[in-house]
Amino acid sequence: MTRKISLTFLFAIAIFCVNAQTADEILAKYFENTGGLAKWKDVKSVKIEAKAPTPQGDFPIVIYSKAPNKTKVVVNVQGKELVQAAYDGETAWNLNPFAGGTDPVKLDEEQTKELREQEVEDSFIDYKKKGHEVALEGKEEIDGVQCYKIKLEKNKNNEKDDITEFIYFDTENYVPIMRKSFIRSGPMKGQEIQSYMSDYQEVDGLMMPFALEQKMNGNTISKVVIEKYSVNENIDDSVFAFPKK
Amino acid sequence: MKKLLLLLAILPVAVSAQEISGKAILGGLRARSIGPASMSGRIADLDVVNRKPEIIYVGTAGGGVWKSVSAGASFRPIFDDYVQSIGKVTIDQKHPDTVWVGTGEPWVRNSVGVGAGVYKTYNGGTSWEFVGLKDSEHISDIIIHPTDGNIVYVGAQGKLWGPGEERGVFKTTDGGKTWTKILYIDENTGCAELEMDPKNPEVLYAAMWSHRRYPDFFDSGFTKTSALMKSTDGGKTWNKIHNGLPNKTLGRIGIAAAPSNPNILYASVEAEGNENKGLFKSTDAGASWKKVNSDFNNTVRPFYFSRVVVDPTADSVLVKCAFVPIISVDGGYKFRQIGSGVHSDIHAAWIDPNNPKHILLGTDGGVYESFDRAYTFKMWMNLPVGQFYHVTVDNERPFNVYGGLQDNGSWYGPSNKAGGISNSDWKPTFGGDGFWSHVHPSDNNTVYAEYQGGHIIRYNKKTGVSKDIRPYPEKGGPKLRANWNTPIVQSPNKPDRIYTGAQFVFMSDDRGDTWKRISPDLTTNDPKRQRQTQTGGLSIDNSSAENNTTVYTIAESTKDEKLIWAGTDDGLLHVTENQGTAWTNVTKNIAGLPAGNWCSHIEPGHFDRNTAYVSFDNHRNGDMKPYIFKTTDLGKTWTSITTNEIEGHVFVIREDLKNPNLLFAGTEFGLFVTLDGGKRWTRFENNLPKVAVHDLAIHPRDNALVIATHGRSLYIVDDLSPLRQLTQDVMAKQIHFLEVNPTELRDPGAGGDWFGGAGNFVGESSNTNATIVYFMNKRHTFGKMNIEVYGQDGKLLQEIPAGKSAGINVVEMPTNMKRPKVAPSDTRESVGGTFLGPTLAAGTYKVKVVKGKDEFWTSFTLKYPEDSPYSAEDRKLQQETTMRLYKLSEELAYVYHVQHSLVTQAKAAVKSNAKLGKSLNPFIKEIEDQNAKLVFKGGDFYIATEERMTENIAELYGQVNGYPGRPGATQIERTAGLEAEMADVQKKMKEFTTTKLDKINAQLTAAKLDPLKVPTEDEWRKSADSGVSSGAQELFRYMLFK
Repeated sequence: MTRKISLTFLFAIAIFCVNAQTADEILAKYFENTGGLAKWKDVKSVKIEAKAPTPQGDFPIVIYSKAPNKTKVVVNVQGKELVQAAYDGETAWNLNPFAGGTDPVKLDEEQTKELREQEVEDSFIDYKKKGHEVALEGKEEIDGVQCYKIKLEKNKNNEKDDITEFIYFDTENYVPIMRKSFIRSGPMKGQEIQSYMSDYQEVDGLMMPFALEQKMNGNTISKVVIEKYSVNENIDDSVFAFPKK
Repeated sequence: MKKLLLLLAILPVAVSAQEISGKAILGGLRARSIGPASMSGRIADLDVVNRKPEIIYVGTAGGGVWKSVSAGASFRPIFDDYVQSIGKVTIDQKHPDTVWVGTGEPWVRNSVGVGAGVYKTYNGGTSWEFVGLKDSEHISDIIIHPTDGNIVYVGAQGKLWGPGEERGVFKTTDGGKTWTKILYIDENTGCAELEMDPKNPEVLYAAMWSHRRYPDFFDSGFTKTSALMKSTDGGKTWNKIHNGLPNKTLGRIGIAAAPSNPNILYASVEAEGNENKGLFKSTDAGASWKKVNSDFNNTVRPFYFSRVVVDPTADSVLVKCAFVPIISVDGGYKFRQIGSGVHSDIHAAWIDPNNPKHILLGTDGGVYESFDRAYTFKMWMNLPVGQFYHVTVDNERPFNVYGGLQDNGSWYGPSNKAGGISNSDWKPTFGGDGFWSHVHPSDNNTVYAEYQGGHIIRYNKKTGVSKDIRPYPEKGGPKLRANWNTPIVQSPNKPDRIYTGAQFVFMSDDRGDTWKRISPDLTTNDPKRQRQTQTGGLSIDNSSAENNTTVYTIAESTKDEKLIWAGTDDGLLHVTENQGTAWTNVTKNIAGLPAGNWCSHIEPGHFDRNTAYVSFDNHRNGDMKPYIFKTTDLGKTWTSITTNEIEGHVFVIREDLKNPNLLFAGTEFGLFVTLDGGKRWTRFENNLPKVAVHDLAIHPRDNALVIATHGRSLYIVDDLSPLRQLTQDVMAKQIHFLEVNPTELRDPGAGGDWFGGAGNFVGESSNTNATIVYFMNKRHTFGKMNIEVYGQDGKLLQEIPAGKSAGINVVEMPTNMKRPKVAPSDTRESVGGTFLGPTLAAGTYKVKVVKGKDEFWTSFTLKYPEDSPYSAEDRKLQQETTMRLYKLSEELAYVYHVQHSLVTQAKAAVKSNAKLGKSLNPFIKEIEDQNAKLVFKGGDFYIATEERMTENIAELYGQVNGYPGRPGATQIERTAGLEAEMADVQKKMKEFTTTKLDKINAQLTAAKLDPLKVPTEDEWRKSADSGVSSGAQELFRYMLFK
């Protein structure tokens, strides 16, 4: 009998806790469950080696990123390197040997701005200082999983362009399993895109997703399988630099 | 981390207690939109950003809101999660990303949808918030204050099928948080149109309209309280402005102020007495009125067309929306008809304030655009917003879909086509409003179709000629009463037998040439419900839309040709077991069924003769609840199988053809599915908007579900078989594989429009990949999960990412092997020729799903199309030849890689020791000369090109691989020729890598340098990768989100 009562009591407390969640509490749990806030703050660079399976074969991809906002995405096509986008702190550029020659090309101001304003650090870390706003918008079911729906309004309180996203955290373990974002420019502007994260595994004490799937109107538009994350490995600045002739 | 692991350990306990939701169960099944947009559909309203006229919002009668940012070149639906019947779309011109949408179309014809209030977006349609007036049902107007976007006026036309207090004029001053009803007459009189003085936002005009619809009657003018009102204090006080208007009962009024001159007003006025109707004009801001025109198009059908739109730059130029659109350039005295192929029935118009010759019209058949002040128009062929009433399928490969639409006739088109289903793939069979249409089961040239009021025809696809085949009254017998939407029903047992209904049931055994009446009057024959000649109220509107006391739905049992059901539009349900000798009225046996309900659909059971499902639709009595009942004893007793999970009145109920517990219901607000015979229902959402679903068809051979929507044309869910296998046992399992149809290896076909640009809608084709389908009781979030596919030789063929969701997962496996590795050429011949891997052979492929430490095995089957002209022997030869060329491509790539590697290493050696150049340089040159024969370098993947051996192999590979039948003898001979060349090439490589290399390496060793290494085949395979993908972009975005 005692046991029964205490279980009921615990259950009641658990329910109470769930109801009393705030966005900040959910984010705190998220950091705690995926390695700890201190460890996340410590992430200064990430290299991702991945492949995108397609009917034409697997496509190897390497992404380099280095705090605060240096980045480079390299895709290997038939032994040729295609730089989809890169930003070295000053210049945003790409290199596509299949479309218009072998010289790297500087991106226009809009694209440069988009890259410049993206930070390597998780947006939720010190989000208030960064000028972002976060709100809990209740629960929603994603992939059959009850999730907390967190609205992230990036740059709401700074001069940069606002970006609204929704991140869905599994209510059982607080890891994000889906992110809803919106195409930001061009004729599809405003079109919703869902990115699903799964296959979480531990990398140097951090929980990282090893599978990503992107959907639009219920159709899968891309899948990526991550083979390796290298966290805080030294990535030389020259990797990002706009190539000099 | 420890905490996390602990959490994972306790998860299974939590899961077993949690029931998986219907939404998750259906998750992996997706509906594809096949259009058509050939005829588009009814447009209720449209608005354009005045400063950027390329940004357009179109509000449709049943298909939601569509946005273009390209002046109509392409459109995107932006309101799919909400009610799709749209009344009004208003852009805040000062902040054009803020748009208000009122739901519930104000052009309240018999088939009009139902709205759910007002919504607002502040980001151009990316997200919407509900702002109120939930019970208004029909919103006619929204006006935003020109300088303060928080002040908004809404015209609520209100409930159509009954009284309602949420109507009149509403005002918010806080952007929609709170509302005040600022003008209200009574529960029957709503606001049909609002207007604001273009210079003074405190001055408002409101056209108040008393009207009511019944199942059998429409009354415009209803309680004689319609009025034209004016306020000069922002809506605080209102006065009638009838000086000069007919001193009679008024009906629907359209009101417009000239933007360039606030004193000029136009009003299209419906009034008692035809001589009193017409266009009125005021030159003193409503203080007095004078009739200026009473042409047919200024008086016809006011409930359906009343809007007047004045040129923003000229107070004497105006367009009147009408049966045929008309335009006046002399202040409304004279009008010219707008022709040029514009669909009749105009509801909305927009005149560009910066170029008033630029005009848009919204019609019953889509949007039209003119740049010459309405002399010539072009249609926008990219809005798939057709309002289908019914749908059927045939047995062709691929099967065709047949159906009829609101004001857009009857059509058929393919369910599938390489490159997508284009507008030009759809063929019309008949005009008017279309409803039922189906093909003769054994004669695919014979199609039945109809127009409103029972005008049935039999159409011959070959000749294009149709024959009228409707039944006529018997000698001395009563006039026939046929519904607006008269049934034409194919017997499932006798190919030549069809049925139709009036107040009687008629049967024909010779395709409609001879009709036999097989029932007495099955309706109430209530004269009070037979007022169609008087319907309309102030304007007679005897279009057959209000024909009532008719047989509306007929169904012959698949189990017994003499067992026939008939339901009427006045609430009766009958059954006969002897082909009509005696009918039993079983209506009274249905407990909880309100009287006067429309029997919307009868579905005799496919598994049991005595079972039937019947849906009833009572929305025409103001009751929007769902009614679905089931009997298992031929109607003696009934059970309700609706739950509160179903939203909206029901148009159709279908029983699956294989699983009697799987049922589908189409309602005003979407498609609902039950897996347990009606205990639990779930809305089907995946890519299907919250649109009215009027009919459903299940393809017996292909297991596809075809969805006829009343506003978004047609959708198809390609394979229902996974749903048929879901039982409680299956759904309790960690993972359970669901059997699906073998995948047909579709032979490549030409398709798509020839550089059609963006202006034409293209319907989605079905997926050509094989599918691996499984059910999981919980989402996979932690640890690796992937899928390995094995070839028929048992070797690993491909690794593909797994589906991770709880519920049904559909994983696609391409039916091509990976493309061959190719020497790094930069010509389009080489890249294009080897773009696709060889098609996998028919047969069964084993599949391993690896989930953490567990492995689960299944398989999928590929088969050749049954009607394919290629023999098994021909296909075998094609596959063998393709693989010979595949091998050649890879052999050459390896040779090139080895030789290129030797050159690179040798050059490095020379660089470190120049003396070696004397003996190494000739070696280098010889290999480079040889490589130049193998691969062309210096191309631009387009026009800078030459052919070498790589190009020759790739080109032939692509040609043989691209044709599924027997390769030509010349192609086989050419393959042998290339193989012979390859033998020489390999011989040459052997020289480079043995005798010649040995000599070189001896010198290098003597010079204390590393010998040149020959890369092994394994090393080469690892280093060479190929492909194209958008995956990088996603990974990149993921990274940046962190």
